Amino acid sequence: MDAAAQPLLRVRDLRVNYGPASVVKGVSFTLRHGETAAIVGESGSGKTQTVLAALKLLPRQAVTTGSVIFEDTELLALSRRRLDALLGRRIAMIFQEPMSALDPLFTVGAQIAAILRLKSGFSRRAATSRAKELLDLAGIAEPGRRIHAYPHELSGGQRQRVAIAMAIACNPDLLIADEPTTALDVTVAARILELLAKLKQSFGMAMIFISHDLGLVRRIADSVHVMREGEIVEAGSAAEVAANPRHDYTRMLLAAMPRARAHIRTDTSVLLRAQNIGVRFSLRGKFLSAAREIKAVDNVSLWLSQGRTLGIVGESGSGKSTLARALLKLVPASGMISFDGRDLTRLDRSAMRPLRRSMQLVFQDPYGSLSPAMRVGDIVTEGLRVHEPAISRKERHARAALALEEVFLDPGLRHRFPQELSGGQRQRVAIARAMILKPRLVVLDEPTSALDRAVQTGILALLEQLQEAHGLTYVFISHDLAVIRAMTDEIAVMKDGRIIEQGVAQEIVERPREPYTSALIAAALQTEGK
Amino acid sequence: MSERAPAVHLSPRNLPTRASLAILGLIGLLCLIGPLVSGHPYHQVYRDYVLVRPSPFAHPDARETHAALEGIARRMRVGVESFRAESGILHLTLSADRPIDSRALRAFERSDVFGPARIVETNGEGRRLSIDVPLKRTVFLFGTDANGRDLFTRTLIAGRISLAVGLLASFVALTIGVAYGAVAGYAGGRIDALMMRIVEIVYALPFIFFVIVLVMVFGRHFVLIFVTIGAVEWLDMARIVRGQTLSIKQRDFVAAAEALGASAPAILWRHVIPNASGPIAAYLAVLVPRVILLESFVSFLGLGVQEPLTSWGVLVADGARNIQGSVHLLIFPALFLGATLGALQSLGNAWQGSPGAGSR
Amino acid sequence: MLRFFLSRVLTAVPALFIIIALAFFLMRLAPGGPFDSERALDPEIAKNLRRIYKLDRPLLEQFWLYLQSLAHGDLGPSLHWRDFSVNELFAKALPVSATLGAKAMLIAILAGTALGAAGAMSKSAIGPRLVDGAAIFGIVLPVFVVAPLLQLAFGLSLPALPVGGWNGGAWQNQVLPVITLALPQIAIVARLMQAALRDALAMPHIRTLRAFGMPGHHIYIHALRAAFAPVVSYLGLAAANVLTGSVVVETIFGIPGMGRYFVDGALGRDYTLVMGTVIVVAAAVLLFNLIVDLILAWLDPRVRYDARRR
Repeated sequence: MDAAAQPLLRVRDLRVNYGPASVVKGVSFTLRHGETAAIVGESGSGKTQTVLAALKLLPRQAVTTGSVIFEDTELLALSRRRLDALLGRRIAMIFQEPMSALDPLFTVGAQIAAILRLKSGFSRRAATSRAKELLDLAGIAEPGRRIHAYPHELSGGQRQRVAIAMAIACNPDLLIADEPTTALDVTVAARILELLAKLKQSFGMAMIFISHDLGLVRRIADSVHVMREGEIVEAGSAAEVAANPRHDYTRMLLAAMPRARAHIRTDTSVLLRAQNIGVRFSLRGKFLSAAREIKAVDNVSLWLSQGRTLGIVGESGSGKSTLARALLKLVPASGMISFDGRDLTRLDRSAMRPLRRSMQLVFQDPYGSLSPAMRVGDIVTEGLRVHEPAISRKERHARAALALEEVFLDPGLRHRFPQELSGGQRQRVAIARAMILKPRLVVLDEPTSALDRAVQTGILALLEQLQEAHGLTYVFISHDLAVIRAMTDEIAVMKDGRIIEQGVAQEIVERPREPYTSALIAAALQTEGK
Repeated sequence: MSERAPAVHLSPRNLPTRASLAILGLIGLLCLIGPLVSGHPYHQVYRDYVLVRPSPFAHPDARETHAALEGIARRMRVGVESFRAESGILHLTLSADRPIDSRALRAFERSDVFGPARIVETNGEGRRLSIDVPLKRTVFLFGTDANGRDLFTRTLIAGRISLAVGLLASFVALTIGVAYGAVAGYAGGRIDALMMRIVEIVYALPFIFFVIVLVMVFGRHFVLIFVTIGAVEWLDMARIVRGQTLSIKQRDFVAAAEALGASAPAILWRHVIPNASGPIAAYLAVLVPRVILLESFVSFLGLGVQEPLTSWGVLVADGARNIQGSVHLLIFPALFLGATLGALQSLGNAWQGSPGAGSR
Repeated sequence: MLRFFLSRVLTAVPALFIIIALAFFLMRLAPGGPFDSERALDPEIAKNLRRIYKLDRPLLEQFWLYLQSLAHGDLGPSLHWRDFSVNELFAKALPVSATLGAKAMLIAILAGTALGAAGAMSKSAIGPRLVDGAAIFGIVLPVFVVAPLLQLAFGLSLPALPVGGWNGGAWQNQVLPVITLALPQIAIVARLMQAALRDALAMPHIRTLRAFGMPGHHIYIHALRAAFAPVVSYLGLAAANVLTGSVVVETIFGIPGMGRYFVDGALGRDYTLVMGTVIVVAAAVLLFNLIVDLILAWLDPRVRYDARRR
């Protein structure tokens, strides 16, 4: 039989159950040699479970039924030993969190060499030199030196490259990539995708690419399978699905952000002015060695007009979060900050307290910004306890209910604990907590980055609504240029603690001056597939 | 996306936890109420019942009766002519060369075995006396110790002391440790480094030092135990709380509270400590048995509780000394001690989940 | 790595100094003097004794003198056993205690890790429960209960093992004391090892190894390597526990080790003897902790490079 015609992998009616709960409900698809198939879905859709089930990597409590045929072999019926012989050699996998895929106690080279020795029978010396070659192929500079590095000495992108090197070590026929770029910065992710595409070509591998980002996979996949709640709701060639989505869910996943802000405000008075802000961290020197200093924020100046939204874009490590906290005087900083004409620079903690009502902060991680030991009602009214301590308990409960209603949450939720709420609900609680004091300035530090796409639009709409209703001024921080474009009037681009470009939002997006800004925009647009 | 576990999670549903709680409840109840209803004061000495074996049956048995009778007869300088036991009453005939003083019969009453003697018949000008003597029935469930004290009552009284010390000293260690650790962790920087240095230094000395040195300084005193145990055990708690505080400090909800303008004490009280309560409770469940064990240890060396008060450690020490022939002296207090420690430890395990989970 | 080592050593030295100072002044605080517990001495003789042992000088001067003699390795004369210097007393007692302690630790480590690993690797659910249960027993039964029980069980019933005495270190005399000391540590180590290995086997990078179809023994090597850290961390504390336990064991089994000197010296207010014991024990504990830190740094490269983690 013609090898090219016979499918590489055939999955038929795969089901995974944990007791009564059904996580994968009858998934079927086919993969040909050299094909790249993408499985797209949001968290909880079962996409990772499907793949782990096919390789029998799930914990003991999982019950897997169905058929997974790799070339001619039924994987689900194989003994442990025979399956192990296939894994690593014919089928390889890379995971989302590169740090957790690598053993922190062993050098990178040792880990790659172990695979070569134990799976392909390399001798120790041959394994080491081949490991060097593989690191080079994976795009790691100075492979001879890096071979002796430990995982924590490498950056996230480099670690993922190491994971890729491990995966291709034995020249597999099938590479499974589970959200390989989700934990990485946009620019780094783009390069990893390029690497994967290149390796796929030269090694002639088939690939299963799992992601939550339909726009992302559109450019690299041949076929797309959209999963929702354990089932495949739509499948087809990548071009087809993108151009003519049939299912509502697919359409929603594809929905792009609005292109620009609906309303333009005329110039109003300056609310916040910051000049020459600098934040320095010193890494405590180890005994007998000097302390190192890191400039997290380096000489940043900006101003905010009332009622407008300033967006701060940058990748992780650019200092944008630190800047946000410095503006609110939550971290010690040099430079001058004035709020509503009042100089904040020399105010101490108790002098700042009354002012804090007017400047609030909403954080990125809804799971970390609400104390798991407090009920929602108490969380939302904590500000009242600080600034209006005379209020009776009853009154506080009433205000809590009001605050929750304002963010479109059921006021009854105030008796619950945060763990009982979904991510989107928690973020609304965090917003309510900020709003209850009726601030004038709200800093939003990546408020939607940790949320599913479906929930994001709701939160962003809420934020817009609140801004309209209360005349709020926003500082909106994000790494996602698409979100920034939809929400902001002005944009400042940050890199390595400095603002490298600032201006009206439309201008920056359509006519960027700095090459870094262009790269950011290009990466964002790539996601949108324009 | 990971779900953070709620602060304290006690599920009384599984068997080990239920069993542990039941055991602790039982022992606690016994120690509290037992001594009041056991029928023996804990310091009462029964000279006739030294090193008696444990038994649910009432004493005296035949041998004891004879021995006691012989002893009394000797002291009274009389001979026992006839002897008949009948449903708890002894019918005796005593004879002597000289008339027997009836006041001497009070010896029966004063003994632990007999009740007051009643003269039935007097013959030969008082040289022959027929008397009826009832037997005093006593039960020594756990037997008696080398001084003739009821072990059951003493074990329970000892339990009061051991448990009280355990709980109180743990509470002291808890308060000091939590306060110290939270302040150190939240303050950070130099203050934290200094405070932890102190902890490390004190930690280097094994517990036994403090005991001995403090004994030398203050002599043997009950309060000493509290001081010593408190002085050592708060260290671990401080470390744990400091570790927790360091990681909780980084969480966004603390920054949010700061942004709201909350003061440092308010943040510690409302946010840091409640979120550390899981590991704190888990450690507490392990701390209490440790403290009880330490107290036993100190008492064993003779440096802790003084007579006539007693603790499980003292009882075990006595038991260890008398192990040949009177194993019961060791077994019963050891059993109570072991059961209490085991139950507490098991609870601690259940609360911690997998050991070390709280410290991650 | 060298820097790490030096930094740890340099923090240990002031700690030792503070401990010596603390112990010294604490003891002098105690009411009464070293000669009170003996039969009433003629006040003239008592005064002379105090002069000879320099107890009539100001405290600070005594401290300074003591430090000086320490620097020469001289722990001073025993105030109680006046024919001997502390060094002489220790020369006989220290090796005894050290032997017992070392053997107990060794057994604890070997048996404990083996048991714990077996429990973690067992396929059935009973294995780990057994280990946990047995461990609770070991933790809960204090040394002073176990010792007499063992004496009863083995010493008196089986004539093979002596119930007490040291007999110059004959191996039969060492068996019971060493086992008594080791038992609670075996229990704790076993529990720690089991939990650590279970956690290690569940870690993501172990899942990666499985995803690559790596052979079982390779996976266990990686998991064991990760699991050792919490066990090694405990060893410092284990040493302190063994030390504490040895006081009891030496008393019950009548073994002429450091423990007896310490207790008797304290009760008799033999300053130099107690000081000597404090110093020796503290130095031993600090040294042991240093070794443990070094092993930890060797095991985990992150510890070496990240001083901030402390």
